[in-house]
Amino acid sequence: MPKGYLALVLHAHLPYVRHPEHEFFLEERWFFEAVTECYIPLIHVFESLVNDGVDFRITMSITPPLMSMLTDGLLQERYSKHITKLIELAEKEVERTKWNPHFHGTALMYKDLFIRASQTFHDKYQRNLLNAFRKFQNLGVLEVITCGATHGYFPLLGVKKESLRAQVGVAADLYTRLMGRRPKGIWLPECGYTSGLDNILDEFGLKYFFVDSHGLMYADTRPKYGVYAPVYCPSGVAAFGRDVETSKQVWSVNEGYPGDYDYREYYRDIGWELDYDYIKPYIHPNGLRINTGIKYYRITGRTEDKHAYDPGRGRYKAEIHAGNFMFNREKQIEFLADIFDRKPLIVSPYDAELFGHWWFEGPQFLECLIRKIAFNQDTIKLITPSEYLLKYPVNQMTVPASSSWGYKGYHEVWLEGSNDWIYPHLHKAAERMSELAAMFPHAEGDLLRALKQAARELLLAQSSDWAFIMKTGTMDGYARRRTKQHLHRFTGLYEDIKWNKINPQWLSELEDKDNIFPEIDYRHFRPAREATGAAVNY
Amino acid sequence: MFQKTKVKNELPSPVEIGEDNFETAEEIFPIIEFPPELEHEHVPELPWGYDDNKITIMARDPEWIYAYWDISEERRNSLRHTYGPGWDNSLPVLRVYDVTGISYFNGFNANHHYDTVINDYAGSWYIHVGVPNRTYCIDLGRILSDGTYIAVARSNFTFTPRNSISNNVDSEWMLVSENERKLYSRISPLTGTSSGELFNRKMH
Repeated sequence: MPKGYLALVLHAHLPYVRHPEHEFFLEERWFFEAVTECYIPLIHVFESLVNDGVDFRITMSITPPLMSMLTDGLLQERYSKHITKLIELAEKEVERTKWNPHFHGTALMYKDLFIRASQTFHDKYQRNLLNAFRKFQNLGVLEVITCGATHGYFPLLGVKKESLRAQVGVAADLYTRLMGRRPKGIWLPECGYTSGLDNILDEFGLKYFFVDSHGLMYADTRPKYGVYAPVYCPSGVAAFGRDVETSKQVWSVNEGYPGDYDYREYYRDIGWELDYDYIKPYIHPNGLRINTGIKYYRITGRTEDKHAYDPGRGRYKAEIHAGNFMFNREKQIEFLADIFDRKPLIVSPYDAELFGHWWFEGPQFLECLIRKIAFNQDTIKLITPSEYLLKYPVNQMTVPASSSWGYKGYHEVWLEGSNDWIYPHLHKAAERMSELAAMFPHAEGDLLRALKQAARELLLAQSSDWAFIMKTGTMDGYARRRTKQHLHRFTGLYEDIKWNKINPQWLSELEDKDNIFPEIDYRHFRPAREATGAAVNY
Repeated sequence: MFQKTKVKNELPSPVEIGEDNFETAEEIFPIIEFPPELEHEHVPELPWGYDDNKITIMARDPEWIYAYWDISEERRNSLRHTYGPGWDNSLPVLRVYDVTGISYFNGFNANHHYDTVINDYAGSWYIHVGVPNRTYCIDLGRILSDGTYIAVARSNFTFTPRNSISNNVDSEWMLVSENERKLYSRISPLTGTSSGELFNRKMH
């Protein structure tokens, strides 16, 4: 019998980037990279474990924009071309490094990886990787949860409750349609929580969400088990708190694994290093050097003189680190079980893209960890939040603190000098969308199309990714453009609808460009029955 | 001992891996660049405001509130007309009311309030209320030269988040104090940072 439980949560998200108007769009590559380096390797890990009969549990949030991209025909077609070209490059690399023993092994590794990725993508799952995640969920080893429809930042959008209803409602609808059942849990974007917003989660049948450690620790009433058991909000929805120890182990510069000198170096990509004429077909068509995904060096140390990557050594380190992680969890659980009167739960959420994209050996680490937990000990067991709630259906009730897992722990990242200007526009647009939803409760024909598209444009404008990019400041031009474009398109549709001058041709253009959520129910934006606190004006 | 790949062209120098830049913010999100074609695409500007005659507030963290407002030209003229020449000499303020625990706020029954002087050109402001776990309401107002206060618009309510462990203990959900001490000393300090933030960011 285990003494305690570990819930590994992978949060997979990409902003919705799809540009049918351009044959090559740089930012779409990030989707291709994530698929090749993270999602497919994770699928391979799950396949391997299932084939070997290993019992495990992973929780994974796949955000609606990501689900939409994985199931989009255009992006599937573009990925197919991308991986085919990557295999071509890998084959050239195998040839080029033929006489170089330090790189040839690594070149062969990439070729094999990309061929397997292509087979998995094309043959095994018919170009739709969501089929894989659904399969693992149906097998009972993976629990997929949802997230805000466009990863909107709830505490700041929530001035207009309708926005939260739409973010959650549209997400739940999409999940239900694509996964074949309703979602049980939700990953709040950035763990952004305001006391009380769980009532909206409850409206859509969601049973649990996550907050950062201090969100739980600073709850209205002291949590008996700290972050090591969930609490119920007054709505009855459960809140799980992040464990800081496991985050540090994996992410910390000083204490974490991914910086190990034997691991693959992210920055030495051949897209930047090799002869221009050779690499030209595999970088940006206008000649701009970009990442290809093929890198030959290991971190080596704090030096620019990087040494050649050795896949065997990388794999060996991943095993060591998996063992170390598990050992620390055993000690942690033993400590907690000793002072608790129930089995403690450690909740360890990570950005999914850490595994494979940033930390090349991440998926290997994960697989080793899962196997070791299953076979090498019996102190801890993997579990999903849903299962823990079944084991412990009675929990303390309190109100978690408004919080996020962003820098400084509250809302500042998304509300500061670079991005605060968006909120008057987002709030106004939400108000207008509610107005439209109330005016036209039963729309048909072009009116229905326009209302749906207006809802899409507003949701896309609400993406917290834009505010985040504006804050980090790196090439924030794209983020500003997306915000302004979607708001502009929304306002145009609002006026066309309100004044009965819908332009079907413009509508078709927008439907083609911003095609997320084909079945969107605009009525999720219907006005809420507000409680006190409405603005009063003279 | 280890040979590097032969490179014909000039390389951009690789980023040095150090404590400060193991992971950069832009790597979590795409390095956003526009292909040349899009440079010429028209980016629409958003309106300056919506003339709503409203003020909206949002708590940013335990000590700060953000407010934005938009008063129409028409409304300002009407106020100017009502209050005469004294209006333009009046002081623009934000009146911050602590309305914690007040179920119906009538403008006069706040726990306390204070004024922050702003300026005529501002359309938004960050107010340092300085106290977590309180509920606030804010007026956009003016103080005439004779001290009279005029409310121009009143905001929604917002509340500042908690930033400490509560002293409230649920008697049905308690560990013995020795165990609680052990638990809390293991959990602290709470860093409140995302998985992506625990790496020091490279500053741009």
